[in-house]
Amino acid sequence: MTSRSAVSFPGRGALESTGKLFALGADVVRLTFKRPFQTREFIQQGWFIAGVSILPAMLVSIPFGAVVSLQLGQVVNQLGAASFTGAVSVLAIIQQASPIVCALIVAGAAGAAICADIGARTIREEIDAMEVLGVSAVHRLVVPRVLACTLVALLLNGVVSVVGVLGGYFFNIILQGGTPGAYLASFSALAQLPDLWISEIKAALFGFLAGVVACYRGLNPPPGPKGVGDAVNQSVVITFLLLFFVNFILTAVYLTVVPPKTG
Amino acid sequence: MGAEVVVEGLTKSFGSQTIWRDVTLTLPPGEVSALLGPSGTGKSVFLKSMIGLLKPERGKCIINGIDIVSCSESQLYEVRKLFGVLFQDGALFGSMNLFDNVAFPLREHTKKSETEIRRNVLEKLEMTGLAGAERKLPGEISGGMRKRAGLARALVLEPEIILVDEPDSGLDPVRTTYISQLFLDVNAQIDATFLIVTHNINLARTVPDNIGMLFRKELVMFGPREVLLTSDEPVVKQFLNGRMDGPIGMSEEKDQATLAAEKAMFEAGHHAGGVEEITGVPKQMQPTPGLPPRAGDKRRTDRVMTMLHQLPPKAQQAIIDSLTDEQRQHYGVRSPAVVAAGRPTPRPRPQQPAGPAGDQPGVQRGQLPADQVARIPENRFSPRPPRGQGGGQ
Repeated sequence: MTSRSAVSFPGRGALESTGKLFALGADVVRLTFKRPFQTREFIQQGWFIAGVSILPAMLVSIPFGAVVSLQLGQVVNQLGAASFTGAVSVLAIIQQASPIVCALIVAGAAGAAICADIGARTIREEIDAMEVLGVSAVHRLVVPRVLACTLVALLLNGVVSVVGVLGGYFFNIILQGGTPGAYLASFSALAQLPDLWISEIKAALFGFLAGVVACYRGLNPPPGPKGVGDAVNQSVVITFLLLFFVNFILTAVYLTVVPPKTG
Repeated sequence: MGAEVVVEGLTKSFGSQTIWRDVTLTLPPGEVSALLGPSGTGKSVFLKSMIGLLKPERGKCIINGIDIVSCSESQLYEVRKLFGVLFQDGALFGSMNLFDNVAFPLREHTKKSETEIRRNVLEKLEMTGLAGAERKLPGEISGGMRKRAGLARALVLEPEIILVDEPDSGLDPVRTTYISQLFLDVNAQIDATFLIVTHNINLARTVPDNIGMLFRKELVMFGPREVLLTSDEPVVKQFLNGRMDGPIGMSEEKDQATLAAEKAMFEAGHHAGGVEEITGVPKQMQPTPGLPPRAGDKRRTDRVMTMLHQLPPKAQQAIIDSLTDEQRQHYGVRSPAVVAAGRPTPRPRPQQPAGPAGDQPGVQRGQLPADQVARIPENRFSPRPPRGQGGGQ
């Protein structure tokens, strides 16, 4: 206990925060299995997160699919492999674009709201009051929120994939004069089932991360009402940074572990 | 009976800044204690450390045999169920109405039926004068009502220890007195141990049984109310009178140069603030007639009488003054006039035939059963108090 305050070195604060963030993540996993599960809070939060993220996610995914499809369509045309446009765009959307879009929306829309909510409760001493009443704030508030983020990201991933692919299809066929048959037929030329799994795993993990980061920043805001604003800002930025980093790792591991589909 | 809280050598710092160090005190079970101190001396931090919201660097805080500072998380949550805490702003849950706020602890911790919860909650709301407001949201009511609702929520689990952070902040003097009366009534009814953090002098003079004061990162004193109220300590005197003349400055404390400059200024006729010299020990507030007498008060008198000879003479005088004739007979002390005239030494020996025993610590002169008599704090500073002692009902 006494040695705790001893050493000070540059980057200590960052390391401490990282450690606490991981500790919160571990706590969330541990307390998920603790009875009683806060079903009501979970459903309310899930409903709320779905409500704020479905529409933006769909609106983002349409142009996203279009861009992928337009860009790829042109390159692939030059290579003389126009019939593979569908294959490439499906792969790109399902594996990369969709989980990232989900996570960005969940972090940006829902995560920010969660962080602001919990941050406001923290500075108003509501969290302290709850702890003092013998109720763990992590169990009561954080676990249902993080699980709701995870679940919604997972489900949203499906929606975004479908809408993204449809957007790609539409733009390829209408604007670039692609052939519908070739586009659809080449769907399964490169893509395979594990691509869908990794996509869902990514989405769930990103949702979890977004939830944990939002709650962590909400529980530890800088002082004052402005601190809550800063915390929300930071929670979104931290989530984005983590997101792309984790995505890179997962993709690298996936490409090593799962062999690409040939023929 | 309320639980006893033993704090030993508690030290808290944020980074390199020490908030307070080596705070040692014992909150006697069932008694009302107050903690005074200028703003920024870490009174609220002390409160939060006592319930494990902040982790002190060193020391112990033992409640029912469990050390809050070093116990496991699950133990901490168990111990916290003994506490009722009233935060400065009430700390109500903004998204719930008053009824749900007060019902929250019951719903989380008990298996009571909704009708039982309803009866219980309405009773507490009635007690705090909030009947009829149970459907209101915390944002829709005044600060005083929020505070009372916070108190209702703190009381609903029938806690053994009640911690109150600045009950007077944002309340007018009348409401402050009413809420003080409420504390004493609650204390009489459930015999809970109270700790009130405040800098309201009226409240500090009339409500608590024991008073402590934090200053210069240390606990200046903690003991029976008479000790602090009759103290000649400059800090205490300045604080009670609310003057600029003394060691407390605008920022934490003054240096010699400022002190001298100010002294010259006050001597030259500048008003040092304060209205009138506050001296003496006013009569303590009592529970509303009709309620049972406070058990803590009785235990306190026994406890104070056993340690009477260790107290400063002025405090002794004040304590003896405050006793009724019967009590004086019971404890074998003489009436104030005799003590004042005949014996300035701080050792009022029993002269009456009723009190034959000596006045060493631990030796009882009264006729109370042994377990009813509070012991002197010094005697129980064993490194490991037996589990559950001084605790449960």
